[in-house]
Amino acid sequence: MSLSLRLEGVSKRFADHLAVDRLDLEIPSGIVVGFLGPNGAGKTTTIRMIMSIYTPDSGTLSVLGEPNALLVKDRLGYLPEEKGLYRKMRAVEVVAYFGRLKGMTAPAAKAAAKALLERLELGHVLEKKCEALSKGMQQKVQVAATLVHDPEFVILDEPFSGLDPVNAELLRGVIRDLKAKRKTVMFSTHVMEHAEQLCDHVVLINRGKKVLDGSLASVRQSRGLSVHLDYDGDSRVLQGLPGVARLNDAGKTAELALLDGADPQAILSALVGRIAIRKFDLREPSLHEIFVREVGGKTHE
Amino acid sequence: MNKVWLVATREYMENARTKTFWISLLAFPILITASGFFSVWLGRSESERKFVIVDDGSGLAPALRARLEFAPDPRYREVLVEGGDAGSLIQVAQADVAADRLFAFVTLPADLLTTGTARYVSKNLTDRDLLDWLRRHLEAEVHERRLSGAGLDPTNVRKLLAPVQLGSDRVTSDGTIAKVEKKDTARQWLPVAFVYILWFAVFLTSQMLLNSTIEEKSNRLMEVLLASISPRQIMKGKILGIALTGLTVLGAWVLYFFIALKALPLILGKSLPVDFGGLVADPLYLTSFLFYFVCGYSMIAAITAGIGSLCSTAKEAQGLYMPLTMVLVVPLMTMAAIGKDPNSTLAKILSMIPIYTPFVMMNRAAGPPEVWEYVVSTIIMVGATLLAFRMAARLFQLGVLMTGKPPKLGEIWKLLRTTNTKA
Repeated sequence: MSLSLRLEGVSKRFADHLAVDRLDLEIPSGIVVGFLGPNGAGKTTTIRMIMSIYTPDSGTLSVLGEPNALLVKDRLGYLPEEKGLYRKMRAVEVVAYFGRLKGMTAPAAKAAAKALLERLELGHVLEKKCEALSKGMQQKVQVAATLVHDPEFVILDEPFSGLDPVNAELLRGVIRDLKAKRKTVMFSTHVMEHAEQLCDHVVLINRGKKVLDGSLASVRQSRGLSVHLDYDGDSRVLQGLPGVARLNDAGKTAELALLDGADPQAILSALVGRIAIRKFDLREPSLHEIFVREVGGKTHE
Repeated sequence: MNKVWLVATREYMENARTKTFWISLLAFPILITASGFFSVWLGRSESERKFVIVDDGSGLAPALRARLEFAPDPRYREVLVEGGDAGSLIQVAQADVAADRLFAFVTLPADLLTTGTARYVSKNLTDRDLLDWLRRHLEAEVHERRLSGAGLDPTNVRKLLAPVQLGSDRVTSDGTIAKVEKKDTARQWLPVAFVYILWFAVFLTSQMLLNSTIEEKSNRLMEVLLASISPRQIMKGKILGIALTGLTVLGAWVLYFFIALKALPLILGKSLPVDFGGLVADPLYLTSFLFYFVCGYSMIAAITAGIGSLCSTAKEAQGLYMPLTMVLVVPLMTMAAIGKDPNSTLAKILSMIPIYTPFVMMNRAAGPPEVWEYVVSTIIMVGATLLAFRMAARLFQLGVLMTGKPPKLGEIWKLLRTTNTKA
């Protein structure tokens, strides 16, 4: 299997802050990878190093088989977290312009821009100036500008932030399309649902270090079991239950991560009669639970 | 197509769509044309000014009238007032001036020939054209009378008192004498006008570049661009695109200037006193103007792009830009002095300071400077420009992704010295 990306012991320091600490990573071609981590974990720094915007202080890096992304720029698509558009340019012009910067001819870029914007349901605003578009539309134009040259390897930094559910679903569709075309997609997010729905593979980093790396299924299966609960009633009842390692309570739903060997039946009987249970589901933990557990963030006491 | 060129054409197209571009392109010619026509129209519409001559016993009035009629000025007309003695005439005239029926009146007293003093009365003493016109002719008449009275022939005396001319010749550096004509005075001062336009062209274009860089930064476009092209290419493309914008505006102005020069004699019905067209078209001026625009702009643009990349808002940029503006004012302040003495020590020294070279060498074009000065100053300037480009590219690389407060000047210097490692 060929690799789209390989990082070996890559580090980057800014002044007295070690942003990325000896990171190793291998991404096979043709899969969708979720790049997860809390704010300030080093995701954007890592991505910028992959794109050769930053130079690593140490370690080696290979993108599509080359040591430097600059050598394969035209085969990469990159959507930064901080992204903008030329406000005075028309939507189709902007997308075609980025296509041309990636080496496309003018007619090819224009045709691809049109087709892609139509796919993203922006066919009616092709000739509108970007400043006249809503924020969500602008973000879709940016996605189009990233993909217009049909890249082999697509890196999206927080692509879902600021999208409403309809547009988020549209973007998930675009990512699935890319996967169907055997492209490699790597995207960062801290919304675990998006990762759960899309990824073949997840990588979790925290404080510049890799915490988790593997296929979504294997990551989830290796983390014990959780009770996924839908309920109505006093949430204080959920606290202090036997065999529960950690509780993630959202008010109407809750996830109870179980200790090894804990008895789900005991938990169920402890709850019956005290709250109204609409669903009681025993399966592998959610990515959210794994994230919270690994990052060591706050849990509900 | 080359990516730099792509960036440049996009930049150019974007500027060409702005109002500012069209305003600067058209405003200058329209303003000049309008002000020209306006002043002509104002001159024509000005009502005829009436005046009265009151002869209070001098007996010079008829002779003065004869002189005025011999060299009439369409702007002024004498009104003849009949009857009465001088005293009552003066009273009437004074009332007429007060009521704006008359613009002015002059009284010629009996002792005019001995005292040489007459009186001019008007409401408006700031416009002295009528006063001067009357005084000139009155003086000529009084002189002639006095000469005749002393038994001298006025024609003879005029001949004897003919003014002395101090003819001026210009010796060129190869020792030959160049005949000075009216054209040469214009030639002497033309470069000053060119420096002025050059300075503004360079300054305004750099401002455009500054704004465009900051906009691209605050729009968060830089990182998107960086995925496709290098910071150096972005910078070069922007500088080139805006240079083309500036050249378009300048080109339009020059074109307009030539059209105006052709059209003006047709409109005025007479040829211009100095052949400006021939002078301006002189390759020495036009070519050096374009050359120095490109050089001056490139150097200042590089510095501007470097500064712009470090700032996130226009306000921050103004702060960092301030020292550069102060440095750039020098050629404007020395402009007149260098125009007067193009080969002074000051001029020679400033020519060798790269940031001033374009302006000062343009300023000295009438000198003209010696060939070695052209060569040496150009070499220094081109070298400095290349250096400025390299430093700016480094700043640009560091700056474009920087957010928050821009560094201080001292910190910029440190950045430039310590970061040689970037690709």
